[in-house]
Amino acid sequence: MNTKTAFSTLALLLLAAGLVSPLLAADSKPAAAATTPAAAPAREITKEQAIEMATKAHPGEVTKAYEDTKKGKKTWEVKINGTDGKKWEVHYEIKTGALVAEESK
Amino acid sequence: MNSPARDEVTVWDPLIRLFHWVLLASFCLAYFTEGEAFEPIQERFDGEWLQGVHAWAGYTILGLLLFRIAWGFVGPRYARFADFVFGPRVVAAYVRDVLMLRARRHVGHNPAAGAMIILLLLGLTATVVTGLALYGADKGLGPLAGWLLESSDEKIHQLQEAHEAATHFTLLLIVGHLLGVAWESFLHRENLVRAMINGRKRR
Repeated sequence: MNTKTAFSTLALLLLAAGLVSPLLAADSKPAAAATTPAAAPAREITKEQAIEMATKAHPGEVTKAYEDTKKGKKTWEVKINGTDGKKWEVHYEIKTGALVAEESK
Repeated sequence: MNSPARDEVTVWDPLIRLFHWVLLASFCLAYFTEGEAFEPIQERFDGEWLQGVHAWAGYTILGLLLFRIAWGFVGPRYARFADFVFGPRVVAAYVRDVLMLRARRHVGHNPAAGAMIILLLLGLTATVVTGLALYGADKGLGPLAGWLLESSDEKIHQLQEAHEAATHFTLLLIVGHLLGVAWESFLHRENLVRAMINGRKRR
């Protein structure tokens, strides 16, 4: 590889890195939540509480429960193989315990 | 770097080769971490970690795509679009010749391979763009979150479908690409996989 090619290569790599890096910065924190939370008394919930709430709504076997971001909110995601034959994914906001999303497939 | 053997010529520059194999690795990683076919394996890993790896694999592919497009204009001869992008008639005629086992050998990309590269770049771009949109709408993360955070559940579902469709389209192209590589290797009695590793082909 001659010097000219080496320089243009370096320039290209820097260009690509420069273009991608601002995008990555946006990952570090979730965007502001779309709606302001209701005035209901906010109470932080544990993973165990989230699992309890999820299985009450959708009885079945819990396959996974972990922290996940949903619609800009930090949530507990609980995955359930429901007794109704459906696979459920339920999200509760960690800070308030509010239901953010529930999906089945 | 070893100097090429006398009857061989360096066709694929080091960056093109690196691009090719990192792209393959990133695509596989992205597919294994979120692809539905691998759910039984995914269940053994932490869900948040899987999503993080998936997003980073996607960003890597985005960076690689930007590099490849730029390299198609300023890279060495065989990496340039001008060297391998032909009109539809030339491509169709070449495909016909390939199927009739009489296609002329090209040292760089042949017209069918050139068309496949363009399709792969389009398929991957669609996959990355729909992935970023889904990331923004569903999770409220990534560069598009600001625009898409208030998306309805229906819109999120549509984005999910679009991301899956783009991925499956790209997978189909990859199968076509592999068949093309195997067929051309057989037709011209040369190992094209080896050429993408050491960069060299016979003259």
